[in-house]
Amino acid sequence: MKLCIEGLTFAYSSRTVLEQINLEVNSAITVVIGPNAVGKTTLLKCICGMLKPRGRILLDGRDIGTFTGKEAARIVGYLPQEIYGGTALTVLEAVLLGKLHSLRWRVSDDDLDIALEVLEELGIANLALRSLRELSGGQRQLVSIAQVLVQRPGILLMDEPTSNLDLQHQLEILTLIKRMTRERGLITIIAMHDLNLAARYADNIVVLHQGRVYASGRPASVLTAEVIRAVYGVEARVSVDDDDVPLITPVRSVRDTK
Amino acid sequence: MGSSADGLVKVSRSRAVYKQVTGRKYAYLLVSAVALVVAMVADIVTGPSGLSVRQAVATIISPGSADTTTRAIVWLIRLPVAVTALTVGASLGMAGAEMQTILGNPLASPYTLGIASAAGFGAALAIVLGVGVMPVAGQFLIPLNAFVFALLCSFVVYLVARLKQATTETLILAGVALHFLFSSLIALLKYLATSERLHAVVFWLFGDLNKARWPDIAVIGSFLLVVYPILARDAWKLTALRLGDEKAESLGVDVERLRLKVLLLISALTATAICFVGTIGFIGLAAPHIARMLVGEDQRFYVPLSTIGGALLLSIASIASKSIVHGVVFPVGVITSFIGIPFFVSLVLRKRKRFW
Repeated sequence: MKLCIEGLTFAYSSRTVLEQINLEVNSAITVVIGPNAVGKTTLLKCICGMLKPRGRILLDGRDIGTFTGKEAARIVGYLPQEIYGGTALTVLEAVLLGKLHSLRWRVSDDDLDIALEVLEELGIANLALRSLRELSGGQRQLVSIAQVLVQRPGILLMDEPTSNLDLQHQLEILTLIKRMTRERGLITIIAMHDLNLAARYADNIVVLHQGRVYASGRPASVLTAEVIRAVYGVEARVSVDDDDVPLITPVRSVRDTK
Repeated sequence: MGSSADGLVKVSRSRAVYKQVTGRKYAYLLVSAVALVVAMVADIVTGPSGLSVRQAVATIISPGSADTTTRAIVWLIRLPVAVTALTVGASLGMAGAEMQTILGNPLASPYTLGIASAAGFGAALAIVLGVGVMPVAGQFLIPLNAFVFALLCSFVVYLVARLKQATTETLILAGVALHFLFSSLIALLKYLATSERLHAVVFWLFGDLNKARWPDIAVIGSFLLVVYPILARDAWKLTALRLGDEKAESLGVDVERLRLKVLLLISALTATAICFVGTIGFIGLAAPHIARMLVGEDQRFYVPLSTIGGALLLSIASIASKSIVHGVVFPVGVITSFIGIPFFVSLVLRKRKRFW
């Protein structure tokens, strides 16, 4: 599968956030990075159809704008940054909601099977009867991923999936996403702040700067000291670790902050 | 062959897990329904003139078999009150559950968006100035006024929300503003009223189950039966709303439309219920809370349980209103707050888990 973004421009009333974005995304993990408020979330929302931008977004040649809400919900799985933890639903019920478009008053065997299957795949079938409120941040994140995976989407959009997690959970979640992306041939787009995690897990990186694509490509070619200075305004040392992954050590802001 | 057997095993296994989730919820529904029937019977036999359960049930089943006095007591006094408690309590329980859902706020009740003060103003207008919004209202002048103003209020909230986005903040701000507007208008009318009419206004605002007559009850009941199936069709979407607007939208829910549609439905439901009996507080706040503690927020269980719970709470309040002082019937609106709030606070304080 291939996702082509052509001349995408989006403005919230008069404030233009994204301008003339052109991108080609394949079945792999693409990580979108850039400073706060650069439009990472906006880009994800445009792709999943929640926002209506100018320009075109084509999935295998078909304009995403022509999908009905139902179709889009089936093809695109979106994991918002904010995850509601306060809901009095069991894990099983929450995961079933991922199949919203096929749920009837009486839940079908098929939907139940898929829900349980995904929970098993993620190793959290033992949580099925627990309430969402009783879960830790990491478990809750796994549940939201399960909720997206039951849709059997072709495109997986994730906004900061690791921002509230400890080190171990960050690595586990991203390893899982990488495995799912490979096994299912997903187009996975992740918005992220942590450059080192991005370097390790991304197949491709897209750098947004002032509403435009500043650079894109393999992590090693994109994550350079020059790019980081230009985009983040930060002096950083970039080395290569034992796995040939770029390692970024931020040193200081270029702004004078005495 | 092997694969189909395998499939069969899995089907029964995921179904079994699902039954573990739902089994207890069906039990709560059943128990609360039985409790409601018991409470209604108790409500019917409670009152100044003694009535046995057998007498009451016999009179309800075959009115002809009872003597005239018993028949009059049951059919003209006790039964209307009991069925009013049932229908009004159920309406407030259902409306409260959905108001908390669409506003995503546990403090929400059917009255959050100003509907109660609007209805109160409508009623007060009719009582104090004799001004009706409909030309030929006759004996329905007061309820009709209350109903029209309640709907007007929610319609203004709706319009504001349509013009801006129907976020919970917009709805609540518009609702709170209208609440204060109508409250001050009620205060103005009270100030202008003669002492006799002032008394009538205050009495209306209390909320009293004795006001409703059979035709009124039929209207409330049939409206409830019309609204619930419409809400039930969106049960899963409304459940998804509790995952946050963004998540629900990404699952294909038109959040804004759903919120406004449900707002109109429950406003009409609330307006219908309170225009005949006055404002009865607390039920629409407490019933959804209790339902959520017991069955969670799957709307297929949460809304029915909150509905039955509302009816049950109001029936109990009705019994209490007749039994606190022998021979005196307090307005039920006073009682719901009196007995309800300590009970509710203890429930909230005792719970171990967070429920919101």
